[in-house]
Amino acid sequence: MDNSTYVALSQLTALERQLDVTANNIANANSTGFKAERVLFESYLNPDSTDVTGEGTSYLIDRGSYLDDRSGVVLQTGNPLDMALSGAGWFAYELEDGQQAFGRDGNFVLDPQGRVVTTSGAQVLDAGGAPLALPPALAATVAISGDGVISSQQGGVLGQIGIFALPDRQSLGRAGGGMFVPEDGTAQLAPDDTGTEVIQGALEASNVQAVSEVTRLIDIQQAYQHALNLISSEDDLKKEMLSRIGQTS
Amino acid sequence: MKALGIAATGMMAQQTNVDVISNNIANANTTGYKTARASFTDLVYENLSREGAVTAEEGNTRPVGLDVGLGVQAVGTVRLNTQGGLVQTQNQLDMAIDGRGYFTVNLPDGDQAYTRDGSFRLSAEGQVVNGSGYEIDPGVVLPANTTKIEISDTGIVSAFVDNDPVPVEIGQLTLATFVNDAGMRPLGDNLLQATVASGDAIPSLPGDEGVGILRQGYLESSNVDIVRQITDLIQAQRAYEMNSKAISTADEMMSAANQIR
Repeated sequence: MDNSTYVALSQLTALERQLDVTANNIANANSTGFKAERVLFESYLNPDSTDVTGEGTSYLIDRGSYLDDRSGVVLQTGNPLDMALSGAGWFAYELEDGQQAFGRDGNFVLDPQGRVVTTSGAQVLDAGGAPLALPPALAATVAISGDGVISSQQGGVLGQIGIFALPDRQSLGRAGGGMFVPEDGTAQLAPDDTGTEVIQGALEASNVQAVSEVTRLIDIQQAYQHALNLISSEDDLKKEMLSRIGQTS
Repeated sequence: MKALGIAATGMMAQQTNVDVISNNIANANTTGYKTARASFTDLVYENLSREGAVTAEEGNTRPVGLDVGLGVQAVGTVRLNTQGGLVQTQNQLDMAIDGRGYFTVNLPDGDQAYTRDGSFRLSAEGQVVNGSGYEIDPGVVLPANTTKIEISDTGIVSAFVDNDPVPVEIGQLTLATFVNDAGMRPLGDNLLQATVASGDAIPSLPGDEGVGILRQGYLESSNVDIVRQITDLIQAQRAYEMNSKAISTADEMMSAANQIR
């Protein structure tokens, strides 16, 4: 019977989820290499409720969330091991548990063994898919070319940072720490062929757009209020109905 | 509704950011100070439905999952190890390092600390000490009646004693380098300490490959870029406001839900 209340309820639940996702985007407005998350709503037609008009009742469900794939602003930092990617390629990392992950966070430092790691400790992979290491004495003065080749001041090639293509990036799970992990743990390390360039001494800032996120907050709040109004009108209607039935009998 | 907690992590992160920025601004005139930058990453995700889950018997899989992130975390402060400007002081015991490396000083508790601050002085016994009175390592002691000290680019300290025109070599200064400079722990007083993350100090001579040279009569100023810090401060404040907006939106939505009847 109570279809309109449940339709409004399905919207309220979905909007609360969207608020959580939006709050997370805003909280990460300063996270290096962060990509904003968007929720995906779909209508769900209930085929059984064809009693009155034959058209059924559509409920709202939140089917999934996807990645806002736009690039963030590139910020100069001056650190020789900071790298930003300009283009569609991704860095690949090896996590502590041996799992491979992808990300756009190029805030790299050296660990005591001379391996290139992120600030949260994940190892950065080179173009061949092996952990990238640099001679410590030369690390502060390296030059990194647009295609990721790392060379010393004397011109010797020390390695190449891996830039990989991620054609199915929407299917990656998010693991926190700026990491995107493939479902089965090991990814296909396909080299990027779209001409992604490495910018040395810069970081890619979060791609969260302040104005659109705050506007979205307002939209969510208003939609939430509308759904609540629908529930209370339905409630009033029923109250009215009951009281009139009471009068006639 | 997790938005309240999520936005709270965002506000805390921006507070950390403002703390780090204000410390940079406060140290804009500190000799040898290196700009710090707070580094943030997203916190864990709640995977409400998994990517790649099978949706039909024909092997259709879900193309996107439903991931709700739970906020932001500060993972560390990264020091920006670029060269600060060299300021001439004319003081013969002032030294700036042009390039990589740190001076080593002996702490009173027997440990060693490392510094880019090359403003050294003399103790009552003629030892070369830093501003806090900690002796430089390896130690250099000036002979009595020293009239002038010369420090070469490669760290050889020579003293002119009395009116003798020929200088006497009295010591060799060394520089310590680290694999991961960013992993050193700041102690205050312009001192840094080696940690497991930074690796052990690698003793080297000034002018070795990959090591800086010494400039007598100069000090290294801080590498704080004030314009950059102020713009970062403005951004941090706006991000803080956005997070508080998310909190008030969540609050008003819950309040509205409570008032349906």
